[in-house]
Amino acid sequence: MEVQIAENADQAPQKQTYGYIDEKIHKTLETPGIAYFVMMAILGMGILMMFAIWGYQVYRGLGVTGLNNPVGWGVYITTFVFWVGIGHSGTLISAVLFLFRAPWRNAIYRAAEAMTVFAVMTAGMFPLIHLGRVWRMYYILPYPNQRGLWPNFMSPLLWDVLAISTYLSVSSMFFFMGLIPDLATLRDRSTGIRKMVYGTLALGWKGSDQQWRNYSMAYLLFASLATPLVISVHSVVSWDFATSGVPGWHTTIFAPYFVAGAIHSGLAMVITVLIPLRIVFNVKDIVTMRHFEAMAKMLILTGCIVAYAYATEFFIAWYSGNRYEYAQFIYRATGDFAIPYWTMVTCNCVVPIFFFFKFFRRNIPFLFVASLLINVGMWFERFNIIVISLAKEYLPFGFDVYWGSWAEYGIMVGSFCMFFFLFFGFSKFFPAVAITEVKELLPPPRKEEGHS
Amino acid sequence: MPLQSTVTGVFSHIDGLLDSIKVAKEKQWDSYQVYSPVPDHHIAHALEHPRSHVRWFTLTGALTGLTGGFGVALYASYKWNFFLGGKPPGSLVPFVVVGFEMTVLFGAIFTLLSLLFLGRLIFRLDAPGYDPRFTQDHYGMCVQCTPEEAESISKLLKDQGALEVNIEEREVE
Repeated sequence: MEVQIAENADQAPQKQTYGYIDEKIHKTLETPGIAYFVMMAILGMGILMMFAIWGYQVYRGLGVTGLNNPVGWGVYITTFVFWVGIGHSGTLISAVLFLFRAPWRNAIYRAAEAMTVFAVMTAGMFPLIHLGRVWRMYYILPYPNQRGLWPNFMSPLLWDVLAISTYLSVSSMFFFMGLIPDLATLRDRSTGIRKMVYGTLALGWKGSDQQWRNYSMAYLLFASLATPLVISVHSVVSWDFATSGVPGWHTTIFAPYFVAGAIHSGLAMVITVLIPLRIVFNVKDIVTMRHFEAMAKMLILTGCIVAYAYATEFFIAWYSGNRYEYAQFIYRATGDFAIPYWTMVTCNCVVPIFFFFKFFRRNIPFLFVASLLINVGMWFERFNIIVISLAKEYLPFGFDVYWGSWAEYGIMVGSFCMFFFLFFGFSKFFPAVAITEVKELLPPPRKEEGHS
Repeated sequence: MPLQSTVTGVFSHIDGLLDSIKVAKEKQWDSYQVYSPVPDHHIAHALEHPRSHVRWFTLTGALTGLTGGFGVALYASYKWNFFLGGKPPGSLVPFVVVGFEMTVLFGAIFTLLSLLFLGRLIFRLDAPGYDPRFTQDHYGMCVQCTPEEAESISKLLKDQGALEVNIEEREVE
């Protein structure tokens, strides 16, 4: 029954059993220390600040932003695309790697999936904030009304609404379904109010053969549905831009370019949240160096794809003979926004190169800093695509520069607070490491040890 | 009202459970339930249950979403009836996105509902003989039988290596 699975851990391997996994993960849900409450209070204040600024914007109007003519999409849409991208790695790890039978996903998929749900929830706020008159948001819904108006289903903006809301719904259901057996385990180990809450959420799960048979099939089908969805969501987001005629947006590589970029940023964010999580919750023997190495290797792949996409954009701008496109890309690299552009290139393309060396893939402080830099780079990628393209379209009298306002950056900072508040709040009440899936990595207990 | 017994064998190793399933088949026990902390293909093979019907629910949901997605997009377009460049308002190519998203959404909703329905979650919460250790680190087999059969079944489960065997009795309608 006792086996060693932490062969690649950064600490001595420990004997792991089903009971050990239960005990270890259950401990992560114990009452936290004062530092946790201080952190949550700071994050909570950040959220309050965000809603206060949003309220101020609703009162004063969109004039409090730095948006101008021609730059009508700025920090809000940049941050929206950024958070949607962050949400991609969760489904990649939970669904795509499940279908590819990559067992290393088991220990980290729950955290990645939670990240997905919270990131897409955060992202969903930004089109509403950007809308200005948020109370008109129901205009997008297709329902019979006295105005005789219907939404335009040929518009990429409506596709975007459908794609994001479908993604949020499906990833939330997938996330909840994966939690059910773990909630039953927690119910059977808890007492008092916790037992009642976990028991209600576990929906009566007992682990019977009938339940497992249907659960396994449902999980497989969910993964099969979620896999094309993860590809489609950021493709649809990219078509918000690509179907327009704006130089820098109107290009056919946008869908794969956006999907690769989304996975790049999502993986970096998984590393960002897992490093403190495994230290604070003491799960170093479950979330091991093997997981970080695997994610670092994937970052090399996605980093190479985004670097290739940056180069292709430049090449096509020159090769197409389209002078507006060419002028746009020269402007990106050498104009008013050269610093954001080269920050993007450095963070997204140069930093992952270090992961070719094993030393850097196994160096936790470097991994943490690199993951932060990649996320900075990916935010700037969206900023560059959205803002610079609009800032310099066709006619010189329409050129302008945009840097955002305090209100926009305040709301952006608040969104980070909201994301981390939701994530760390979840981690304290629910298992951020999947109990059942980690147990599945162990061979079933046999009478004769070693026989499996 | 007649009495029904539930004999519960708790196993710390999977071998004992697999042996018990063999015995259950040999003796042709008609009502028994097997519990495990994780899904296990050894148990699935031993039980030889037919494939889950969840996939039919998923297919139904996906087809519903596909037709609904295209349907609502076409309906809204013709209801609005806005002609642009002499082209008809209903355009199937852009509606592929709507159809696809709705296919996935309804496929997923029906899959989750099928799990609740076929896995008897919410709808049937009682599980006679269930032991909380079954979701943690033990395996279990619960056999429904008459009170007269309970002792012999209990002995058989013990012979297969059950850590402990409990017998519950209750009235059934």
